[in-house]
Amino acid sequence: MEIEFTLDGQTVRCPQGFTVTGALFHLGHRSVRVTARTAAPRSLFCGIGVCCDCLMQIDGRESVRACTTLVQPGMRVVSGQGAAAVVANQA
Amino acid sequence: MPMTSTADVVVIGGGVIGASVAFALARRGASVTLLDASTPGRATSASAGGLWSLGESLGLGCGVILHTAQQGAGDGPAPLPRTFMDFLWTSNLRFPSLAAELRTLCGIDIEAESATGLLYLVYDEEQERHASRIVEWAGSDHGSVEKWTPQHIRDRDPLITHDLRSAIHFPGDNQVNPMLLTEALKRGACAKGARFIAEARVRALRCSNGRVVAVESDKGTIACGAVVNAAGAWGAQIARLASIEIPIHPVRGQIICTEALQPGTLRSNLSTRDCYILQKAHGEVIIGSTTEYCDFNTGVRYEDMCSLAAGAIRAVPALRNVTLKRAWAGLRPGTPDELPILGPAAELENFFHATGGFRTGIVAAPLTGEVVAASVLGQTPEFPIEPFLAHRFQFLTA
Amino acid sequence: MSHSAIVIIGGGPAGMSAAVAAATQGLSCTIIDEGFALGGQIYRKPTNPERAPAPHPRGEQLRAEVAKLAQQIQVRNGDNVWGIFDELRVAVTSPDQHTELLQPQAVILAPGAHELVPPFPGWTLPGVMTPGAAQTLIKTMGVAPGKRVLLAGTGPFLLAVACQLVDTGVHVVAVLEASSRPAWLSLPLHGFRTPKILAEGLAYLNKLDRAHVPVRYGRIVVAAQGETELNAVEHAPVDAEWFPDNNRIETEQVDTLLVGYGFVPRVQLAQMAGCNLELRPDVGGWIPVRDRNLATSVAGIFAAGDGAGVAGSLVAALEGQLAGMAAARFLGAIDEATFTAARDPIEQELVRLKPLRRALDKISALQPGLMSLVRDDTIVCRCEEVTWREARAAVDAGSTTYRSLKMTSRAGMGACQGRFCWPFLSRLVAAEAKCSLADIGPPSARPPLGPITLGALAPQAQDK
Repeated sequence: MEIEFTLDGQTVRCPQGFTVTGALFHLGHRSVRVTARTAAPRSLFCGIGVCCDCLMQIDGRESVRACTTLVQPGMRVVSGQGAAAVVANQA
Repeated sequence: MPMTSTADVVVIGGGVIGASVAFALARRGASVTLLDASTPGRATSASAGGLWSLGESLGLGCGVILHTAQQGAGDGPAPLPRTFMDFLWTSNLRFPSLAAELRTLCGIDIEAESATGLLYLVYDEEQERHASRIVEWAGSDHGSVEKWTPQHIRDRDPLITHDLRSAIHFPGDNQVNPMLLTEALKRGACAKGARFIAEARVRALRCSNGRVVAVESDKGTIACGAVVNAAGAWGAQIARLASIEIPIHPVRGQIICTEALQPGTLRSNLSTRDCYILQKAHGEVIIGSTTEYCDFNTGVRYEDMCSLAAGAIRAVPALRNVTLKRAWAGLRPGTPDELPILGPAAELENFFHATGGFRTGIVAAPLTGEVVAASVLGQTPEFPIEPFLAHRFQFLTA
Repeated sequence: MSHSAIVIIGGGPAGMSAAVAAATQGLSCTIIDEGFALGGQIYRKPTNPERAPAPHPRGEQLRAEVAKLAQQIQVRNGDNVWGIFDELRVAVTSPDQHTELLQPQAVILAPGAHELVPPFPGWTLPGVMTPGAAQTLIKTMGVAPGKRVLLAGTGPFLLAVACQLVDTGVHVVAVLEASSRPAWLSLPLHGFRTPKILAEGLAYLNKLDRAHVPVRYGRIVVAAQGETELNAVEHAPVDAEWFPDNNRIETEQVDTLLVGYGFVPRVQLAQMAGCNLELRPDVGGWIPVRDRNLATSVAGIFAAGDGAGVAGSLVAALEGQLAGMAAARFLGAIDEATFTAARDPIEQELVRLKPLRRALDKISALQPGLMSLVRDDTIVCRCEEVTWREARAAVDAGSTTYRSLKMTSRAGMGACQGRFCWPFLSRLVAAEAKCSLADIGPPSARPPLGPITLGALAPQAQDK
C-alpha cells in the first residue's frame, strides 16, 4: 500500500508507515529545509526529535519535526524556508 | 587567594543599568570596575526591550497588565508623575545616537528601531474611556499621539484582530534588543578602559568613617573611591551590606517567546490589557509579561503561560498556529512609587544607587547612566536627580 | 483525563519496566512517549513491518508485558511532555495540539539519551547524521540512509548500526573507532562476568569482517565536504588524546556520514522539576542526583535509565524495575520488606553488569583532541547558526556561562534550547575560558521542551 502526499506542491508517493524524513530519503531527497540566517541546506540529523534540524511546514503548520511525523494521505509537506511565515486568516 | 585591586568606582550589577552607568563613568575618564554576578532571573534578560517612554509613563505595557490583574479593566492605571515622563522621554531620545556610538565603539548593533511605534489596543467601551484620557495625558509636547480607527489599524497591521474598537498610536515608542544593548554598553565601557569581572558575587562592603573603602567579591577585593549599587531586584540586599535600607522588592515578569517569524510579520509593538507583543529584529515574537510580587522565585507557571498565549491570540489571531519556543521569568526591581532610586545615599557619602527601574529600566538606561555618573563624579546631572533620591522613602525605612 | 497514580515519561526499556513493576503492585500508571509505539530508541517497533527488519525480541517481550497489564497501564504514544510544574503537574500536548495537565502522585523520568556529536567543518551538511538517525530509518521503515556510508565515533553502538546497514544492503565503506585497538582488546578482562554481551560484540565484528567492512581504530573524522550535500569525508589517525595527525589525512568519497561519540542524558524535565543535578562526564554529562532507590532530590520524582546516566538498555530495564518498586513504596502500595526483597536481586544484577560498562565508558571517554576540530567558521550552535568565531568573541568578552553566552552570541537560543550543541560547546568554552565544565553549568531548561503552538495553550487560560 502506498500513500499519496504533496511535497512542495508536487504529488509524490511513499509506502505506509513512513515518517516524513523517511519518505524524503526513500524518494531520494536529502535537504528538508534551508536555514534562516545563511540559507544553508539541512536534513535529518538526530532522527529522534531533539536537534530540531528537520523542521518543515506540514499541513500549514510551520516548524514541525519531520522525523517524528508520520506521512498521512493527502498531507501537504513544504520544505522549510528560513523564518516561519504567518498568514492572516481572519474573516 | 583572590587578588586585591583598586578602582575609582565599583559598579555592582552587570544588567542594563550597571552597564550604562559603567559606560558613562568610563566615558568621563573614571577608572571603573563593573562586577556581574550573572544571577538567574535578572530583569534585563526577561525584558522585551520596549522603549515606551510615553506608553509606560501613561500606565500601558506592564502597568495596565498589573492593573487588570489586580482590579479588572476598570478605569485603567493612573499615569506616572510628569517628571518621570520627561525623564523617560529624554532618555528615549538618546537611543539613535547611543546606537551609532556603540556600533562604532564595539561593533554591536543594538537593534534600536526608529519607526515601529506602539499601539495600545482598545477592546471595549470601558477601555475606550481610559484611552481618551491617555490621549489627553500625553499632551501635545510629546509627539503626535493619536487614536486609530479599526480600518487604519487593519491597513497598517493586517494581522491585528479586527475585533476591537480602536487603538492609540505612540509614534515615538519603539524598541531595542535589551541583551545586545547591555552587552554593547558593557563592551563600550571596557573599550573606554573599564574592567569587567564576570561571576563576581559581592559578599561584603568594607566601610570606614562613613565611606565604603572596598568591595569584597568572589573574584577578589577591590579598594574603591565610590560604589554604585546597580543590583536591580537585589539592590536592597546590596544596600544592606552597607547597613542601608531601600524599599526594593522583586516583581516577577514571566514572558513567552515564539520561534522566529518572518521579519515584518508584526509592524507595531502592541500593548493590550492582557499582555504586550513585540516582534524582535531576529523574528521572534515576545509576549509578556506578568507583573507579580513574589519573592525571588524565577520559575514559570503553567497558568500564566496559558493566559499570555490567550492574550496574544486575542490581539493577533494568526499567532494561534505559531510555535512557542520558550518561557522564562525575570525579577524587576520594584519600588513603592514605581520610580527608580538614583543618586547618593544619605547614609554613606560615596555610595550611590542606580536601581528600582521596575518596568522602565531599558528605556531609562541611557539617561540613568549619565545622571548617576555625573552625580558620582560630583558634576551637575543634566536632568534633576532629586525626585529619585532614596531619601523620599525615609518614612518607610526609618 | 488521566488519573493515574504514576506518570512515566519515556517508553523505552526503563519506562516499560517501571510501568510493569508498579502496575504489578496494583498501581495505575500512564506511560507517555513521543514515539509511535513503545520501545524507545533501542527497541523501536517498525512503523512499516513489511519493509523493516524484525524487531528486537527483548523489546517485543517488554511490550507484551505492558500489554498484559493494560488494566493498570495507560499508554499515550506520540504525546509530548513539555513541562513539569510545581506540585508534580505534568504538561502534555498531543500532535493535534490538545493540551492536558496531569497531576500524578509520583513521576518516573525515563526519557533516555540523545547522541553526542562534536562540531567539525561540514557537520551541518545534509548526509551527515547520527548513527541513531540512520538506525531509526532502517529499524522502522527499512529505508537506507544513503548509498556509500562511513561510520565514525566511538563505542559498540557504531558496530551494531554498521551491521544493520550491511543487512539492509548498504555499502559501508568503513567504521572509524577513535580509541586504539589495544584498549578494545582488553575488554574481555572486564567483561568475563557478562560473556553474552561480549559475544554480541564479537558477532558484530565477525559480521563486518565477512562483509569486508574495515574497522579502523584510532581514527576520527576531521571534516566533511560538499556544497549542498555531503560528498566526501576527511579522516586522520589520532594520538592517545585523539588529536589528529593532519599530515596523514585520507579522503573518502561517501554520500553519508554517521557520526556519534556516545550519548547525553536528557535531563531537561528533571531540571524543570527542580531536581538537583551533578556533573558526571563518565556517564554522559549532567545527570539528576539520585539515592540508592533512584529517587531524585524532589519528593515523588524518580529517574531511571540512560536519562539518568548512560549505561545501556540492560541497566535501563533493571533501573526501571527498581524505580517502579520505589515509586510503589513511596505511594504506600508495598511495605519496606517487600521493597527490599525486590531490590536485592536487581542490585546484584546491576553490580554484575558494572565492570564491563565501566571499561566501555573508559575506552570511549571523550578526549580533548575532539575539541580541536572546530575552525573559526565552524557552526557550534546548529539551530541559530552561530560560528565558533562568534561564540569565542562572546567568551573573550566575559560570557562564560550558558546564560551569558546565549544572550550575547545566541548560541543555545534556538529551538533545541542548546540541548544538542551545548555538551560540546561547553567544553570549547571551558578550554577557551580556562574554567571547569562544572563552573559553566548545564543549559537552562525552559518550558516548552519540544515545540507546541500558542493555540495549544490558549484554551487552558482561566477567565479573568
